[in-house]
Amino acid sequence: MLQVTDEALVVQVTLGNRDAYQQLLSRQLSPMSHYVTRMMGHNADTEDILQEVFLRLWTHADRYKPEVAKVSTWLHSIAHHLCIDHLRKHQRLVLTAAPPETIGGEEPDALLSRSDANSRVMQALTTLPERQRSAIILCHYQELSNKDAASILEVSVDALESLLARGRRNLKTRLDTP
Amino acid sequence: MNSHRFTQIIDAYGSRAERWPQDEREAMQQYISIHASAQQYLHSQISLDALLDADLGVDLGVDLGANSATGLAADFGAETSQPSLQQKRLEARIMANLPPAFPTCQDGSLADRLLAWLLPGRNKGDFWRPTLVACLPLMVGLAIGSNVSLETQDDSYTWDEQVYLLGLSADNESADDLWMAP
Repeated sequence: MLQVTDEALVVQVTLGNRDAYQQLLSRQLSPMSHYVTRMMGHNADTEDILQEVFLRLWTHADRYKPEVAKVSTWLHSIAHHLCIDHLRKHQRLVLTAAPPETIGGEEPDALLSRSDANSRVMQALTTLPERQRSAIILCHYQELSNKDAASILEVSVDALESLLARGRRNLKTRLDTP
Repeated sequence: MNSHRFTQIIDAYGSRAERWPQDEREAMQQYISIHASAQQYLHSQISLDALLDADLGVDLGVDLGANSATGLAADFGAETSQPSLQQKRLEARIMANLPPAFPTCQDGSLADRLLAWLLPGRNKGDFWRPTLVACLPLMVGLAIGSNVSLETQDDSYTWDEQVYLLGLSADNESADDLWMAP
């Protein structure tokens, strides 16, 4: 059976179709959760931000322009702005991330368990400046194209590449520091 | 492709070819095959990519306390997993807190339908309706203004009465002249 596109579902959402909304929610909730969780670093408000993202899908669906961006890009853009607003409002992360100098482990990478490595990466990510973090999450984890990521961050592709390069350099320093 | 652009791409996107800009991928691979220094530079980024990749598709919520966000993160951790209990719970919460859809012209009482007609809400194509309603007072004002003449006609005195009054004023003037004469 032919699957209804996200764009067609958004059109239905603008007409107040709850079934279409639920379908879109099921499709997009998981990727959006990964983005918000990585951005917020397991902040207790992660669920609230996700709820706000999908509330805006319901209330602002008429603002979506299919000729400008894909639905997932548009939702990432909403989530990005909400995360940045939240982080700036609170000026700190709830996550008790270890300071950069303690993130690098004494033991060799090969000996680290997978979960330890993940935890280190996650903690190192949360210590990055917001825009560098967002750029890395969008390109590396969410696997968006450089054009989509640049449009979400409202920068040029060149500026995105600069953010990515600085972010990766900072991340490497934090992860490599003994 | 030149060395400057090559390092730019590796610095930004890492060592994995599938993450490089699609239109430059082939040129990058050719460049690497020719230049040994490019291969060395590429290898310098592999360890970071391996660490980042290790964080893909795994439990994001490990060892990070026990609140709803942790549960959410843990549950959403496996990026390829089926919708889990946590995801279903959040979906249910979002659906439960969804505000009602904007009323349509077919729903509710007469007042609701009229309001829905006047304020179509999401459908931008129907925005002529509130505009029309806002313009109605102006149109009524214009109609009244074009049909009512601004000329004033004083019909309080008939022709005879006006001649009589003129006569009175002429008499008064002649009497004044006599009185003022030395």
